[in-house]
Amino acid sequence: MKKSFIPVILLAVILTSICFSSVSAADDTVKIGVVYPLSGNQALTGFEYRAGCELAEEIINNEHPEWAPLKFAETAGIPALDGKKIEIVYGDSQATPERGQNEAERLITQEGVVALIGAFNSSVSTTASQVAKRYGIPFICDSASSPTLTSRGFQYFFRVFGNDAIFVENLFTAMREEADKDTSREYKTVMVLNENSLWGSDVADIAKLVAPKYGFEVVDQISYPSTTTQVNSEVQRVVAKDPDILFQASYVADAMLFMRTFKEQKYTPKMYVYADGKPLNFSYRETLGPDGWWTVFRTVYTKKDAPFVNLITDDYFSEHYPDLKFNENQGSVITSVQVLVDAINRAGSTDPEKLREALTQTDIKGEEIILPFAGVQFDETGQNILARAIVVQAQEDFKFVNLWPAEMKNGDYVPYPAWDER
Amino acid sequence: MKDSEKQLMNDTKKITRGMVFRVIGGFGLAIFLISFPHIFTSNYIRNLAILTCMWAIGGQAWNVLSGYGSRYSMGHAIFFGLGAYSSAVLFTKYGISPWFGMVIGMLVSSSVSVIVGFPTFKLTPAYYGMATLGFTFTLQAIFLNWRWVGDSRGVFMPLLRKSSIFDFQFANNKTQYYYIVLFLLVLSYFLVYKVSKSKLGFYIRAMKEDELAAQSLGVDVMKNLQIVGIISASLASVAGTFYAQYMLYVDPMSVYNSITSNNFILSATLGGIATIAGPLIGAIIFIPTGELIRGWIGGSGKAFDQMLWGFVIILIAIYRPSGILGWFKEHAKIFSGISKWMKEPIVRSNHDNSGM
Amino acid sequence: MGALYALVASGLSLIQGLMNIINFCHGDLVTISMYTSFLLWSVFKMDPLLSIPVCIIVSTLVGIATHKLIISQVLRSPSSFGQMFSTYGLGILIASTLQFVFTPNYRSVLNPFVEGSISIGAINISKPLLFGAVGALLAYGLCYWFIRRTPEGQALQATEQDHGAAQMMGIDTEKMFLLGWTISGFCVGTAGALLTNFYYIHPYVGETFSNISFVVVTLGGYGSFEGSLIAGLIVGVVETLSGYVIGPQYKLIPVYLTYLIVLMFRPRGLMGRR
Repeated sequence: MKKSFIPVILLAVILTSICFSSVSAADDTVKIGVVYPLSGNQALTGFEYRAGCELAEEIINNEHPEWAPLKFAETAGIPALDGKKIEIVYGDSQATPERGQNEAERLITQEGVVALIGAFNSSVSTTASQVAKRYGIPFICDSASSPTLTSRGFQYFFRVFGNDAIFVENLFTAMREEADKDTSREYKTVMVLNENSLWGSDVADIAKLVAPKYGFEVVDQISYPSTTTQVNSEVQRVVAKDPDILFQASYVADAMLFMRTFKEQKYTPKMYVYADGKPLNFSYRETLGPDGWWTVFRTVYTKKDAPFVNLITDDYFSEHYPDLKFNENQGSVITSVQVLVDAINRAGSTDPEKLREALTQTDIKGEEIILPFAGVQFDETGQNILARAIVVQAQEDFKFVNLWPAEMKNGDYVPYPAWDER
Repeated sequence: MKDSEKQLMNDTKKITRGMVFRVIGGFGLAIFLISFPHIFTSNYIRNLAILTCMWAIGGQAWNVLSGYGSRYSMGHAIFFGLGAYSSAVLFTKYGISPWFGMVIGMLVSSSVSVIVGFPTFKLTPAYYGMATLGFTFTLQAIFLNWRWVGDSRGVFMPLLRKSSIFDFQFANNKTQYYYIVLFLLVLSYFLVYKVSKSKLGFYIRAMKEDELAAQSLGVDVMKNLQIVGIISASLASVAGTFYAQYMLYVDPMSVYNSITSNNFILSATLGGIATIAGPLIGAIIFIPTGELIRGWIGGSGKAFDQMLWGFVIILIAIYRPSGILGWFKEHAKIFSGISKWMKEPIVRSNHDNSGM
Repeated sequence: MGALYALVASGLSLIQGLMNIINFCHGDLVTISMYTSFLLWSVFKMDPLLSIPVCIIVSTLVGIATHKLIISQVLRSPSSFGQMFSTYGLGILIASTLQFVFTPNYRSVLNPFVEGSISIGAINISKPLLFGAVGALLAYGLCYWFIRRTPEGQALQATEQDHGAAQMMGIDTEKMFLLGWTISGFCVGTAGALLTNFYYIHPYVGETFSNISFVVVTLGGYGSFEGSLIAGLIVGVVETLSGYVIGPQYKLIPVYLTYLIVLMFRPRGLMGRR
């Protein structure tokens, strides 16, 4: 009988310790809430963002004169608030909209955050930003790229990141340019391969809309469920249609599965394009190795020609996070935090309404941020109009060669080689 | 005979301590529940209370079919999802009030329940569970590809500027949501209470004991299971509608999911199956604990919260498999003194005074 | 793939038939054995094929520990809740512990011994998949032989049919349970190592296999070893064929529909006991 009290006591201990721990809130910091999938299927991505958040705290809170002119690197804390430090509070969405909503609620009401940043998944961003809107708290979207998000007319929604409409257009522009330059092959047909969720379907729809504008014919679209164990039937379909360009929007795990199956089937398109930055992913590079070379993708992050970049990404970051490699995920979250802190700094307070005002007037120069954007300025829907993608090809040994835009171009496109030519 | 009848009447007129306690307790509980959002003004706690009530409705829905009844469903997410989608689609496409959407969701769920029920109620319980799980994934796959209901993108509901009961939306205020879900909760529990006391309730309990024996006594097993299935599906659908209107976003991956079904099952079984209060008690313990654990240590990215959560479930499964209320039943002896004391009359009934 | 489904599922089927419980953490046992295989590869550069014995030992040990620590406790209680949710909780615990230890990175074994594909005319058959299928069938055959042809196997079958009767016949049921977990561990360990050859490794990868195993087990009939093989092959073939014919986005629908239709006509699965 005694045995049965053990779990009861355990539960009681857990509950009370939770109650006590959540009360201890420090007032001497400005709290910023972030929502990411920190456990569950997409925990890896959440992990990368978490690293970015910690780096952002380091940049803002401590003096790093060597990182100038990165915004707020030289000073410690928020200048206008007498050097008050920021504190990032984490919420775990587990990639589900319901959890995301809950966590947003918790961060705002329990932790008293001044703004939310998040949330990687477009579906989670949807529900979390609704909560933010209800409380009249700014929501800075650093990663979700679904165009639906900015079309809802939320006044408190700001997207530092680009959206899929911009990105897909950028990709197709670059594809057209390279296709024209490469006279050895003909590029006419495109096949869209997308995972079946909010992001994948959006990208596929835009791609189908945009492709004819750039003189490509979409021969087929395949959307597949993202938790699949085998992609043989999808690959067979691709092989049967044999498109010139394969345009793929997948999560990492699926992308790796596809590449392996393509190799087994000895199939190559003439150009292999990812709708986002798959080859930048650590797991992708480790797993596929040479098989992942020569693919074209878009990113919002590339090592730009600024003095602080190497110091941060190579020295600081790889020392603290040997498992990870600095990529657009860290870049976009750092920039988002900078944008927010900049707004707080100009508003001189954390009052949500003043903060919102300040955010709408954001004007950050391109050289003050780590992302290679032209800067940050929001239009009336809250979209950063200076966001743009960089189209990159992963060449030998994952040497990343920028193809587009022209001012960042640092190499030439290499036509996608067949498996036996490597 | 007349005497015994009189005795019976007098007995019912006796006011025992238990009745007084029940009345006081009931009022106390009612006052507490109604004033809850005014005692706890933090919206986070209100939010937890709302979610708890929502899952409690779902748990009760599961409890009707699988606690009182004999079919261990693992696919109540089907009805939850249908309820959510019905109201969400009708509201966004045609501007139909979610209250009508709720009714239509109940109708849809009921018909699906009947259709699903015909082949599956014949199965043995273990296979029934697996079959309903299979249906969940089938529906998920269908909704993922169904353009009209927003396929994999899900349904976005517009955030309205004005609060209105008619549109089921309240800006910046959890109190109304709380009262609505409380109302639905009370309604559903009352319904289940009535069912459990009715002939139908008697039949399904008999069927749970021994289906063949019940059949040989003339109980139409199939028909009764179907009716219970309809009630259960409708309740789950109500929870689903509320979910849709509260989240303002529905997508197939998050509603047609075995996690949704498992949440129902966990809250019902944790509290104690085949009891009225079980699902509510289960949900009160289960939902906030899960949320608090996640809020407390979930942000580390190291899955501590999930580890702890899994551990807690195992502990409960090993030590408390019959649920919280089951514990009281098992240890009835401890409480026998109390219950005896409770049964003692405190006011002399008119039986004794009849001589006057 | 179908053969691997069958192998994973036959282990599950055995446990479910033997214990009369639903085992939610079966997929996580597969994950554990995949990680074992990966660990051996990354530390000792051991090929996944060579690591099969180690994987079998590890997954058997985990299975037996599960049985001793949790299942045997739960079996004593009459409520089916404990039996269902102890394994559900364990599944969460295993997956999250793996995430804690190995981080949520996607892992995979580089340059395994079997790689590439064989071409027969215009058809390219992936070597790891082929190896997987052959290995799975071999392992399956071994289990089948053990269960059907050895006295221990027959005792196991007897226990499966009726615990009480078997006990009266002098069979130590507890021992039989352990034997059941061992065979299940054998199936899972082999399947995990074979999967490592071509599939990525992730703490939550077991979920996918769990769901499919449930379908396969129910389709084949609880406790039926032959049923799991046939059902596994059917699921694999239907999945691939419908993906090719109807379209990949719908490929899971025919799988579940087949499953539901079979259940309608054969309520205890294809080869289920009456």
